[in-house]
Amino acid sequence: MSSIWVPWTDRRKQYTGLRGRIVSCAAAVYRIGGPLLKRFAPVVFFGTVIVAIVAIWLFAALVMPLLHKAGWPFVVRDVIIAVAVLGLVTVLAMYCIWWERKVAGRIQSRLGPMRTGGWHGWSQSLADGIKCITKEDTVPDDSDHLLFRLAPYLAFVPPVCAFMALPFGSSWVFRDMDPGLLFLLSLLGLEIIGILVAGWASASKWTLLGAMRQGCQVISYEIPMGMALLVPIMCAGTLRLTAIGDMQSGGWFTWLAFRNPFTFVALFVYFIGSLASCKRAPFDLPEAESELVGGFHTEYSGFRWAVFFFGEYAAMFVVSGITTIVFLGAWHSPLPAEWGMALGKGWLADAARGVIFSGPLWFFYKCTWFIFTHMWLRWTLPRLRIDQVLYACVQVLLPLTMLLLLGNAVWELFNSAAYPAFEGLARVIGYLMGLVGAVLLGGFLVIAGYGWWNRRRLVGRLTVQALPGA
Amino acid sequence: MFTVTLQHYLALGAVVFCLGVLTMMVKRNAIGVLIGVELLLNAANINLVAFNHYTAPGALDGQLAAIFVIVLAAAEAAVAIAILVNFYNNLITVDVDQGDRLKG
Amino acid sequence: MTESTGWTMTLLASAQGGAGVAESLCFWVLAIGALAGAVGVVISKEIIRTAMCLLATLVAMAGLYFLLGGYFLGAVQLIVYAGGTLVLIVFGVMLTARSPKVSFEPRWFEMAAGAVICAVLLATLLHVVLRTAWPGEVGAVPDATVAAIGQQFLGDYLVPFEAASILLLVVMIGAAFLARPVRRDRRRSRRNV
Repeated sequence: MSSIWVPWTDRRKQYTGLRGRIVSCAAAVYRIGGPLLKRFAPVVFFGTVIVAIVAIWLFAALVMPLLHKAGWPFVVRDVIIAVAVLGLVTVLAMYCIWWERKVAGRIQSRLGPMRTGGWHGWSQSLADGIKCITKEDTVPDDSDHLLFRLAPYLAFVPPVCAFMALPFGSSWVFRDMDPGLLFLLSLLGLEIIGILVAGWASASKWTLLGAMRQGCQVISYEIPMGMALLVPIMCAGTLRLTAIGDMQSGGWFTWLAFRNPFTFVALFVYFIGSLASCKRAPFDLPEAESELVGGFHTEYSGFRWAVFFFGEYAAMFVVSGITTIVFLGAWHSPLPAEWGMALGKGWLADAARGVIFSGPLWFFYKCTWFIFTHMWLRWTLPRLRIDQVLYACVQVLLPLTMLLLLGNAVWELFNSAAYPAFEGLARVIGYLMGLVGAVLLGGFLVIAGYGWWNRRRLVGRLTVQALPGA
Repeated sequence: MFTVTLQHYLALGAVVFCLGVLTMMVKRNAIGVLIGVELLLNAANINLVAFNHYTAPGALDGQLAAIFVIVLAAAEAAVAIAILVNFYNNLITVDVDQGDRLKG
Repeated sequence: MTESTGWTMTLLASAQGGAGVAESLCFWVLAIGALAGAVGVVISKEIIRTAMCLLATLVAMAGLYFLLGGYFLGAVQLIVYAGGTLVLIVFGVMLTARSPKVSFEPRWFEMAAGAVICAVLLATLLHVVLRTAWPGEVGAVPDATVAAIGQQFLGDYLVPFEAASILLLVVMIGAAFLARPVRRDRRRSRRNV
């Protein structure tokens, strides 16, 4: 017989037999491992990340060729990878939610989650996830039950499917499709339907209002988004994402964002469009907490609400991925990839090349940087009204993208060997745009560094207050 | 059953086409009729693409025709919804059986 | 990681040659999905459920286009049809429904007459489809379709392309005009209703 103290009821509950043995093992693990985890939490955190990366690399290097050679039907391999993608998306969304709360806290001169799990509340979203799963499952009476239950998955599945065509490296792609970029855009457009149905099926006028605003906003912003993407595609000449990534392997100055002023502006236009498409502030009217309670997800509680947010963070990652691949050099570092050839052969040189010159890690860094920018803008800028949102889309961004398309078409037409003078000028302006980009990035780093260096003077001492009774 | 031939696709197209015609005939909601039209166009598209794949795989004419059909279907749905909004503004219902007078 | 790690994911085209079972499995799953969606469209009583069944059919059709090698077409179907036309339909439903539970039931003899006519039509079509000896020639599906489609749009199919763009312009103007907000005369509408 073993007893365990059930913390949330403050009683001692008695378990017997096999269940008792399992419970006592779990209690022992908690008793020993809990303090260890709290003490060494940073090591565990980064260690898990490194172990995950090494495990993925080992799987790719050792297991995949075996599966490929053994003649197994590709269905098995695809199912394994689909499950892995689902796991990746879930873990990514969980850590993005935790990171968002930390970023929000720091921007607001506070600390963010600090308690759950010890070091900087790293398991806050895990705890939130457990809470969401164990919550009561409410469905409004008047609602269409089937559609109410279906809607979160209609909003979650398209961004996760988009990971299928998103390349993390030149051979790290599930399905390298010829119209890959168009496929990603189509899946991001499918997300609208889930939210419209969620707003409708909740049988409440506030949710309906939120859903219609979101539908309006997302379909309006798809146009400048698509057209801004066409600008670098015109330079690249293909919709295949791996080909676009391979084009940018020559270092900072070959990245498509720095090719001419039109693609540089197109980067910013696409980024603004992607903010609107992911319903992130300043375009977060559909989930405007101060106006509509929760917008389209007001009536959703527990796990279904969590599914909506997994979908949102997955969409954020996909959109950041598209920005990275099409504008900012995909999986290449700012150093030219051919310098990496000097490292030689062998798996150690390959790994070094992957870390320094081009590899999935660089793709991940850049996507994370864009996600950080999404969060930074969310907690800094005020929300726009729906008429301001649509004004910005139709009267500012749409004419701007048309001008960009026209300008880029003329530029690329003359940027060929038949006009060597213009070609030289284009190359000079390309280097100039690269310098502008470097100055912007350097400026960001300088300002961030200044803020971090003087953080005690600017913000004051941030403390974690003791809980009452602790 | 293990090889999928042209006839499978054409049969699928035929069944979806007939279900679309049934929808158009039976639904009283104007939007239901529009949905039936979309089913018809989809059935025609699957026929076009199946013929392209099975009789002339190197050419792209079937896919191009299907792209044009999709574009036209989107245009026609837009006009249909606009007419529907007008209908609703004047008759306060979307029941097509109620639209039986020439002057509203 | 570089190519020397060596596990490039194969394209659907090259896998298609040796995986007839998987291809037919995909076809049957997608075909049954499309059929289920179409049957759902006919028998569902609420208009929003009809729209969702149409979504199922559209996505299944997009899957079938991918299976038949029309990758660009499948993506266009998802963007334009599922992400555009269907959203328009759902907006139309939301703007014109007075309560979520309003539904118009067809009377039984309407349903029976429709079913008979459609059964006759289906029998005719299936007779033609199943009895004709179609020429069969399955070659390799070309992989790089986007550039080829672009060339065709500006080559052989230039006139339909330009005509479609003019049509879309006319449709935009017409739809915006037709759906303009009408200033309703309060007294007249109260008298008629």
